[in-house]
Amino acid sequence: MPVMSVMVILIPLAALRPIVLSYLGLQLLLNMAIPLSLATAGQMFAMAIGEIDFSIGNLVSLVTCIVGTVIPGNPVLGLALLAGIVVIYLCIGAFLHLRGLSSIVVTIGMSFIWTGLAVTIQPTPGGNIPAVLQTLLSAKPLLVPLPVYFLLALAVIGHLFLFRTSFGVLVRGTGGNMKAIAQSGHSIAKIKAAVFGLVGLLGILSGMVLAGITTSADANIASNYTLLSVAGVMLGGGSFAGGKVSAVGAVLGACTMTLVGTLLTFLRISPDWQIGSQGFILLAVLVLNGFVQSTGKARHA
Amino acid sequence: MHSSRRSILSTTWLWSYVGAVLVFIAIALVSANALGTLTASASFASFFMLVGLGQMLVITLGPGNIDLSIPYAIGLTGFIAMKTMNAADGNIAVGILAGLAVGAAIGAFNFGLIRMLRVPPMIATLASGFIVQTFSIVFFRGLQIKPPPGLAAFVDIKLGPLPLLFVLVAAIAVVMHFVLTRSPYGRHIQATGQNVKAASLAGINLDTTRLATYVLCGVFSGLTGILLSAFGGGVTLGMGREYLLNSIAVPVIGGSSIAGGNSNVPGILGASLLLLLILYLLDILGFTVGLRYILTGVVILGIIFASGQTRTLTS
Repeated sequence: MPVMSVMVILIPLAALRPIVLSYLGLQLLLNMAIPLSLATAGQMFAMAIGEIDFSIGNLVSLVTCIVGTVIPGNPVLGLALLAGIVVIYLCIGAFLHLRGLSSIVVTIGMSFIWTGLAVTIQPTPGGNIPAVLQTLLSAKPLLVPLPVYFLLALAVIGHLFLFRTSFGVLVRGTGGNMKAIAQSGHSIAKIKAAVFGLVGLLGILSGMVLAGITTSADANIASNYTLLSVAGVMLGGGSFAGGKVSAVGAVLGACTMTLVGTLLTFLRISPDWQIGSQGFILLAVLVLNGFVQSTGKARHA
Repeated sequence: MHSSRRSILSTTWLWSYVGAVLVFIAIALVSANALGTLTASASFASFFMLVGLGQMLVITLGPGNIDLSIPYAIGLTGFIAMKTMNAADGNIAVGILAGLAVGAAIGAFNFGLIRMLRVPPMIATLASGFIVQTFSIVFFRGLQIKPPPGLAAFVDIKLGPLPLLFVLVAAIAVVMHFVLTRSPYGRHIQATGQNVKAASLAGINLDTTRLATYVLCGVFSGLTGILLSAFGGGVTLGMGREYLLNSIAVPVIGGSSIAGGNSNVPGILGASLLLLLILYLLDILGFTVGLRYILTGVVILGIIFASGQTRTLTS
């Protein structure tokens, strides 16, 4: 299913402008899919345990500010801030379970804190992104461009992690049947803490990559990542119910959301329609998904 | 034992008022013009209350129900109302009707997506929000439409220290309080939020209840869009942006359960005032924008930790 949604966008793209399938074309086309797919992978882990992170877009923006403004002047402080973010995420995960808190509300609170920090660090877009990041991201590997390797690696690692490691089993189990996991002697608080730590880590990676690609530290640069990442997970076949997720799907979902804009530009449709078309694509894929599933088994809403 | 538990539960909203009063006392201590600050925060609190009321109704419906299209609905309804009014006092009534109708239509569209496509409400309203925002961009971007002078003057009227706007919205809140606690509709949404199966077996028409709720939420967004445009001297595309997270924060701080089935209106008023008064206090104290954001987040988290909001069961 998620493969189809990417193809629905990619095939007309290639038909309209065959050059997009060239080395440079693919690189330009998929560059922005790297940071979004990292954030989407983070959201996927949160949704895998039946939670959600409403602050990931704010976090990614904050990370671009840390990378572009704090790290060049004071690398130790910058890295300490990034480590602090992971610790906060670990605590969020644990607290969600221990105090029975709603992740929607907690992460909404966190979103204000991330944005506040970002605005404090970098009131107006700017910054000085470390050259290492820019060089890394403009690397030209053999055969296919960097984004292709990267997206493949993320999908494969994410998939293996979820389906081939014992921790992956616990993650999916926690989303699917928390009681069963708890009764088999595992600490749900620890699992949730670890998963949220991972969400924070992926958010940080996303911010670092985004800063490297855009060479800009901007407190609002990724504000739409929160909604796009949720959409990407859903496009990839994930669900709010928890337990049912796909790393490959999430990466493809993020690609679809990224490619829609380009397709519209090629169709000479004003970029004004881009946001709306992301909405339409999202609905269309979900409807198709629903049909495919409902032919298989009875579903309840 | 049982009754004491209930009384604690039913007064969770009290904390938002305690907080608001404490913050106001702090403002009075540091500011020479505390009443002026109250007036200013009450104006913006009116908008927080309106979006909070709409979101509260949706949240009451139960796990997973949330309306993410509110900020975009605010923008589009504002544009349509101002365009219809065309800065002429004679068109105010028809403009308001147009704005509210569009709000209601967005709500109905949201419900349609949820019901017919069997999509989770969060995704349905997210997608419809994208679509609604596109309409705003395509048809109205760059348009500078001033509100009619009569409407702009109306939202600026003061009754003593309180804006008339605030008094009217508070009156709407009082009505909503009785709608929620006394009317069949209010009981239906609370029952649906507590236990969908039981509500359905009790003969509640789930579809009608949900449709009415999303439409009401759209109408509240529409009202916010119209009044906000009048208050701000025109519409801007990103006008509703800050109302996405705040629309959820307001009912939650006010003691409504994010898991649904247990909402209250008094808390909406208290929480809206609390949030705005905090912002103004921090502003008076010379805190930067960044610090104001951070402290808003800390307050939201603090209240949630203290009140122990139960988790959303999305399954």
